[in-house]
Parts: sequence; C-alpha cells; structure tokens
Amino acid sequence: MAPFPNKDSDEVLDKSAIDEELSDLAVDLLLLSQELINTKLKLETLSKAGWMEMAKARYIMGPSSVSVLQLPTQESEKPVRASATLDVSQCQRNSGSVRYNYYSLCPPSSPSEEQTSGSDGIRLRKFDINVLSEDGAAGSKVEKVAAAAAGGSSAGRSSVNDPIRWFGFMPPMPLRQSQNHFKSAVDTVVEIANIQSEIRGVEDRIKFLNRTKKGKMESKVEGSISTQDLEEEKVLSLEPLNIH
Amino acid sequence: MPASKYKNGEQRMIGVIGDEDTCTGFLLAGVGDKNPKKGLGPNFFVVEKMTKQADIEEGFRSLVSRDDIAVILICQHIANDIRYLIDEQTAIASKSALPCILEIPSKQIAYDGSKDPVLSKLRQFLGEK
Repeated sequence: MAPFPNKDSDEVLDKSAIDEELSDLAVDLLLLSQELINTKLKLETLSKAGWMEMAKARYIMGPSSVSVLQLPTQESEKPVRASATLDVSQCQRNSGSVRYNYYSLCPPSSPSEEQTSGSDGIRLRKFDINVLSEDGAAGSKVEKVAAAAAGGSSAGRSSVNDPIRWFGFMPPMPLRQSQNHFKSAVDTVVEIANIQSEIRGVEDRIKFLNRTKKGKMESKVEGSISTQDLEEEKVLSLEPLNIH
Repeated sequence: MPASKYKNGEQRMIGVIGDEDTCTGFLLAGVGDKNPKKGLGPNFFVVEKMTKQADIEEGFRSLVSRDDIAVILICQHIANDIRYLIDEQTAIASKSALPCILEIPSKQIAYDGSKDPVLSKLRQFLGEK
C-alpha cells in the first residue's frame, strides 16, 4: 500500500513564512505611521512659521499687498511655470513584494535651459570666462561680453520667474523668510507623500498575503475532507466478507 | 532592505486646495503653475469663507482629473467638508495611485492625528477599535 504524500510539512512552511512576513509588515506599518505623524507635525511647524512671517510682511506692506489678489487667476493669459515639480517613479523593496510610488523634487532648471526655452528662441552658448581671459584674440573679447551678458540675463530671468516678484520688486525680508519656510514645507510634503505611498504598498502586500493564507487554508480543508473520504473507502474495502 | 527604483518616472506637479494664506505660501515656494495655451488652468484652488461647497467639489474634481498633477495638498478642515469625495477618489484610485491626496494642517485647526484618515484606516487595518 503506497503511503499518501504528506503535504502537511510543505503547507506548514508556507504558512509560517506568510505569518512571519505578515508580522514584519505589521511592524513596518507601525513604524511608518509614527514617521507620518512626526513629519506632519514638522510640516505644521514650518507652515506656522511661514504664516507668521507672511503676517509680518502683510503688516509692513498692507493687507491687500500680500493676498490672493497677487496670485495668478484663471482669467489672466500670462503663463506661470512651476519651479517645484515632482519626479514620480516606482520603487520596490523586500525583493519586489512591496511596491509603491516614490516622489522626488526635480532640480530647478539651469540658466542655460531657461535661455533655450525663452520666447525669443535665440540659443546662447555657455562660455567659461576664466578660459577666455587667457586668450588675447579679438574674437574672445566679444565672446567674453556675450558671456557676461548671458550671465546677467539669466540671473535677471530667474529673478523674474521668482513668485516673490508678484508681491513687488522689493519684497520685505519677512516675505522672503516666509518663502524659505514654505520651500522647506514643500520638501516635507514630498517626504509625507513618500511615507503615505509606502504605507499603501505595505497594506496592499498584507491584503495579498491574507488572501493567499485564506486560500491555502481552504484548500487544506478541502484536501483533508477528500483524504478522509478516501480513507473511509479503503477501510470499507478491507472489511472481510461474511461467508457462511 | 533599501528600496530600488524599477521604473523611471514622469514629471508632475503639486496641486493645492487651501485657504488664502496656505495657497499663497505654497505658491511662493514655486508650486503654482498655469498654461492657458495648453488649456491648463491654475493648479491651485483658494477656499474662502464664502466659497460654496459645490465650488470646492468642482475645484477638487478638476485637480484630480488632471494628468499632470501627482500630489494634491488639501487643508484638513476643507477635506472634512468633502470627505466623501476624497474617500471615493481613494477607493477608485488607479493602480498607479495618482494623484496622491495629502491632508495638511490648516491655519484654523491644529493637526489632529486621531482624525487623519490615513492613520484611522491604518488603525482599522491593524485591528484597533
């Protein structure tokens, strides 16, 4: 009589691996939730500091000088380009079991890029002024002037794109400090987005593992029922016949 | 184990739904964007005291439907008014789970972790009553 293959040891191993991973993920969730709370409190602190400085700037410049009236509206035709943009990519950890979106702030565009995307369409070459100063040829002086002009115009253009210019050409120091606080707040917002995304990835993995575990248990129960039926049939078949 | 990137991403923006000072602050940080040539309106929505709930809902829907926004910041007290919309968006979020909706502390109300939906969902997940 061939013995039935014992699947119990394999199933126990899978179940224990699933349980171990589930407990690790539960610990991860707790740590991530704590991190989320701490980061949100940090964001609150930065925002409060920003609002305080904005209130000081409003006191200096007047209530209507720092308000929604200076912000770009739906009706205005002038385009506004965001300098704080996000790069969204996919991340994985734990050998690909946990997948989530990862957000990172894109580096601000360089002055040469701003020049190429300018409305006049003229492309200026980047020159190294230190290298040019060693050359005594006449042409290099023209290039030096062009380089100096390019440097000056790029600084001018980046200052024009600065949103603080919406509030006047000489914004007070509190408004600049408010801007700095909110720039730090944007970094914190990106951190929060990453934590939240990771929490979602871990939750999805936990749901998957719970479904797998439930499926295994159901198949094990069905398997044990069919095994029991087979054993009963065997016992019945082995019963001796009463021959008189 | 440290996470690794397996798919390079796309550039997207941050949207803001908040009160006047919150929107002004984040726009000062360079978050604001508007491109009338491409038919894209501003990526922020200012909620004032007199703003109607229908307008807030419309503003939220318009930001959520945009393909160029990855994260939407919304003040907690405004999010409480349109909670059902946010839950709906979270439930039907696509596989990429974009845009990510972040509730931020507002000027009027201090941050309350017990009312944070992400944390309350987490507590339910972990079986806490």
